[in-house]
Amino acid sequence: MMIDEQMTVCVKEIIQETHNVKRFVLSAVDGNLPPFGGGSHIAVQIPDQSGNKSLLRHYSLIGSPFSDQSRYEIAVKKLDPSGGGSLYLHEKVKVGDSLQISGPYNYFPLRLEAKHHIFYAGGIGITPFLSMMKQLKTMDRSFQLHYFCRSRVDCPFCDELMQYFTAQSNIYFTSETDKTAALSASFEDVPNDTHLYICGPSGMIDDIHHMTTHAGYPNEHIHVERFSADLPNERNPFRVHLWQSKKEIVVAEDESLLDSLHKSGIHIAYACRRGICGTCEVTVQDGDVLHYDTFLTEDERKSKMLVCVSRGKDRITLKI
Amino acid sequence: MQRIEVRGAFMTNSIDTFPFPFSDSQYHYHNGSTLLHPTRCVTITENYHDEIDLKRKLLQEHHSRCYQSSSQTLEAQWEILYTIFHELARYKSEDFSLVKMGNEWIFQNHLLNEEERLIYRDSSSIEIEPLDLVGRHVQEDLILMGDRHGDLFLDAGQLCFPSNWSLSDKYRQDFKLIHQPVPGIERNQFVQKVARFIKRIQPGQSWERKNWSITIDRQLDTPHETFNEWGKKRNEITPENAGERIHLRVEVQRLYRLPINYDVLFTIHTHLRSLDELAIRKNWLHLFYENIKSLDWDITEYKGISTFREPLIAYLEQKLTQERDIQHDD
Repeated sequence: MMIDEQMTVCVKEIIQETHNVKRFVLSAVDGNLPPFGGGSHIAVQIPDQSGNKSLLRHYSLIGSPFSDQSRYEIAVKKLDPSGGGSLYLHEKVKVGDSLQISGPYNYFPLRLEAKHHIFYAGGIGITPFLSMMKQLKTMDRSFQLHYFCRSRVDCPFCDELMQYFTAQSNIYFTSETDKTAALSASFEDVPNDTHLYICGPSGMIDDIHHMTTHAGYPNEHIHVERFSADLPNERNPFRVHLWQSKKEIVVAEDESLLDSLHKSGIHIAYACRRGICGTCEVTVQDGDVLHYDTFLTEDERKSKMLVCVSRGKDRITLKI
Repeated sequence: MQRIEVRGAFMTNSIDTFPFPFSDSQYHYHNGSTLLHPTRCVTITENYHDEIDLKRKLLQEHHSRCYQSSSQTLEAQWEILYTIFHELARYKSEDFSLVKMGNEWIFQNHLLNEEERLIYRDSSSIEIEPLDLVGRHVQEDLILMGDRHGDLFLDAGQLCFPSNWSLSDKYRQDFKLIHQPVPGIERNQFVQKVARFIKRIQPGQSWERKNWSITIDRQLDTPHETFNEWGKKRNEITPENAGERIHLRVEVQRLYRLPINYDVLFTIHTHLRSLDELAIRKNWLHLFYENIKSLDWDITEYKGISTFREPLIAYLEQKLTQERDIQHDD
């Protein structure tokens, strides 16, 4: 089983990027931080209001993978209502504070076999592309960015992009531009062996998927990073019968099935905790499952579930 | 320019470094990988000087047999060099150091009293390729598995101590093709599952598994290309010389995801011990005997044991009976 190693970092600097986005510069307390590639993120431990438990929030690393690894940078948008993470970072964390982090992880890597890369970002969805573009620029590779924001004031890193990636950046303010027209224009004359990367709200991902499917674009060349806000807002408790272990457990509304299993002494290997990697797959024998992962195929969902994010309805039976 | 010195915790190896592979009396193929804490790709053992000498000699005399790469792999090769130099300086700081002034690096190998000066990611600053260079400082064979087009490919390698395979045969092949000669490997989609496992390894993680076979005499370099020279020794085994000449060959294999290029570094550290040496540890010969006895014939054949299976079993049975008798006398 994987146990995530925690590291302590110190908040070196906090920069207000827009009215609701802050950049945090985190430095290693001792030694160097682990290297990372474009598209990587870290998990930040956020104490919850009671102070007893902590939440994990994932933020993309936005610095260059080739810079010396003595610091990490993340950008955090203050979400309203916030899952607790962004509010805490925005309002409680000060320069000089310590944070516990784990990672870096990468479920959104650059596919370097591509001859050309196109990035589609919506709002704060720009963050994974900042490290990707810095990496590609250093490696002298070809790429384009299409970045959609409501307006200039809602556009984090606008100046930085125009300064360092002038030729590659296309920034659209949706209050002024026709988004659909801009999207379809961006998809004209795409060279062969191009990979597309999308990070933004669900609506934008669906629009681009619709466009690429229509054009018959190969699915394996399209890579999507969803906001974790796509996880269920409404979570209900449910019961689980464990067939092999002959146990019955109850998963409370504020905990995951994975955590409940671990608490009752059943150790399932896991890695991402976000329904992306497939490590915590188990076999479902009975009951309705609410699938919140992005890993299993429709076919696999008939008999499998990922216990890190997916939940049961009322009562389910698992073959573990 | 800023001077950054990469140093860290001191770690020691136990004197007996042999990674005995059997814990169970029945042999079966399985992935059996474990996650390493901390992340490590290489290990320095007491045979360091001898093995580095042999490695460099083989590279000198048979370069194309021991080294293959394409120019597209240079970025990933540099990342392998980065990974291993940093690992050595951090975990074996008494023997290695790395001083960085921006991209200008000085790597010092105090065991060999050597120094490498280079400009990171500038291939004109070194005389050989980065993978070839870094491989000359470690005992491991180093293989770069390119993770692309939904599969894994052997894109580059420095391989001096193969267990009866050929780098030029496997160069550029995909994962399934590389493993095709292994009997039964396609049962239950085993190869696909291992490939899926490797493709999910997260950056910065290293996983370890052990693989074993048998070599006659203490010979690390047993490539397919020279089978005529070393393969015939299999016919020379008798119950009398088995203890001295038969060596259990264990490969400690590690898989590490390169964070930036997102390819996989596969390292192989080969350990050899004669059966006489193994006999020092109680129970080791017994476990080895049980495994050889229960091995399927096709695996026995694949591992090259069939030729001397009889004298080997005879030796082991005699040795184990002796041990039992001694215990009874006690």
